[in-house]
Amino acid sequence: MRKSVFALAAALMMGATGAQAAGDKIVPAEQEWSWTGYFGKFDKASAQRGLQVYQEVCSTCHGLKRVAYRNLMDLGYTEDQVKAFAAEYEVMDGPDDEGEMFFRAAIPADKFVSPFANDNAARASNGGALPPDLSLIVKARATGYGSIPLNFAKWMQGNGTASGADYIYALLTGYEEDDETANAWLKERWDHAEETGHLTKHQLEEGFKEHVTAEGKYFNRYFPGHNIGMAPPIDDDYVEYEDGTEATKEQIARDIATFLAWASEPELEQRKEMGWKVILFLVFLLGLTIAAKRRLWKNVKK
Amino acid sequence: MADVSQPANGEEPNRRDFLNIAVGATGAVGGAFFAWPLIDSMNPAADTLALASTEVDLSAVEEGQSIVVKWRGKPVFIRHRTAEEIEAAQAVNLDDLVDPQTDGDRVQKDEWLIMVGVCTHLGCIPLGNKDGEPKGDFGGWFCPCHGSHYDTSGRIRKGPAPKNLGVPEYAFIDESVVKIG
Repeated sequence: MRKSVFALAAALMMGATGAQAAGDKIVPAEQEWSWTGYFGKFDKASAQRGLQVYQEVCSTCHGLKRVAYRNLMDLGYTEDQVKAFAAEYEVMDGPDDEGEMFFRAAIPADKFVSPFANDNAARASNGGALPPDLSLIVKARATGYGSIPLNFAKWMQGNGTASGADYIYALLTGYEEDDETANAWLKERWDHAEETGHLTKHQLEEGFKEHVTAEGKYFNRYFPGHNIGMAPPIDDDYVEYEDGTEATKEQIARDIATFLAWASEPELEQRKEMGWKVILFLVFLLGLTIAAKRRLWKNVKK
Repeated sequence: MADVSQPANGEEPNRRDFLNIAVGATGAVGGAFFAWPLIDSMNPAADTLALASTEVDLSAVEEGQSIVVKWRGKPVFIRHRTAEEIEAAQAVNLDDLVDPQTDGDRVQKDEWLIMVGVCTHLGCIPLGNKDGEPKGDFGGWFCPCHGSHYDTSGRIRKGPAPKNLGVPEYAFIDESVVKIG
């Protein structure tokens, strides 16, 4: 029985990896994150740098409307720092005595101020493409590792939404400069799939098709369909970190992904800690109950 | 049943009692830890608490001027009182008041009068904060709904309102910043 279960799992996994290579969806490479695993905790320094990146780069187009400035205290900022940070933004308040809306400096109780008044305004300023709100983006893009058993295994390891952060990291570092390099990369993938027999009959008949990036769009390896509306947002030394960390493109992508993972799941550390407490308690209680049961049945079961 | 609940040979009754008590006690502790967050969830949420107090910078409010700030959805009147207004408020004979209260009980600093701007009669917002608005017969506030007159300490002097304007909890964080709530 046990053997057959393992065999089934193994078969599913192998089948799944095969399907993954042939599919159009490109599964981003897995990264090492500080918050994954059973004891994962957010790397606060990285998340703070990520906040700086969000503020200096992302926030010109992307909102973070479900996070309040006061939440930043979780990342290790003091109340005064948060107050000063919030005061840089203006929120609409009102109506006042005359019934007019007015702007005032944000306070820690306010949510992050979005760059656009509404989705339509955001579309109008970005050539029709809507820059998504980033509050829950890591969860929203956590589409898994390519197969159900693999996803389940990762989930059991405490990697729940890490694939969303992998995607953010891959997306930010996955731009190709022009169609030439883009097609070189696509061809390489094609050849590999052909060699390993992962192309369908139909695909083989059609042959490799050159990708032409649409006008006003950019080629990204990991964006579904490869035509992304967002221009490459970061590059080496695009920000200057306050703590002196070298701002390579990879470092910036890693920091913003960490920050956004925190924004999506601020309760993560608490949740993992609570899980441990509950499991330890239940193990303890189970031991006691078994001992009591044995003692109770001692005279009956000889 | 008897031979199950009682040790048949009377041997080591204490050990089994101890085990049963331990299981029961652990279960009770577990139940308490389970129930605590459920009960705790009845407390106000963090976002509500974050809005429960308002900080106001008073440095821009000139003498004789009043401002209105919003606190928990209610208007709060803050008046920078002039010397004459303070004097008038302090000079009142308590016997003349509907709801007797000294001016000293209503302010922390004489020049700053801070109170909830909701008429204690039927909840209108009294006038008297801006220049040109009626301030009532006692130089304070006048409620346009049913004609209650409040003095320069926000106490009811004339009209249907039964009580003085409420004074919220507040504290001066420093010279010019006050935290209400």
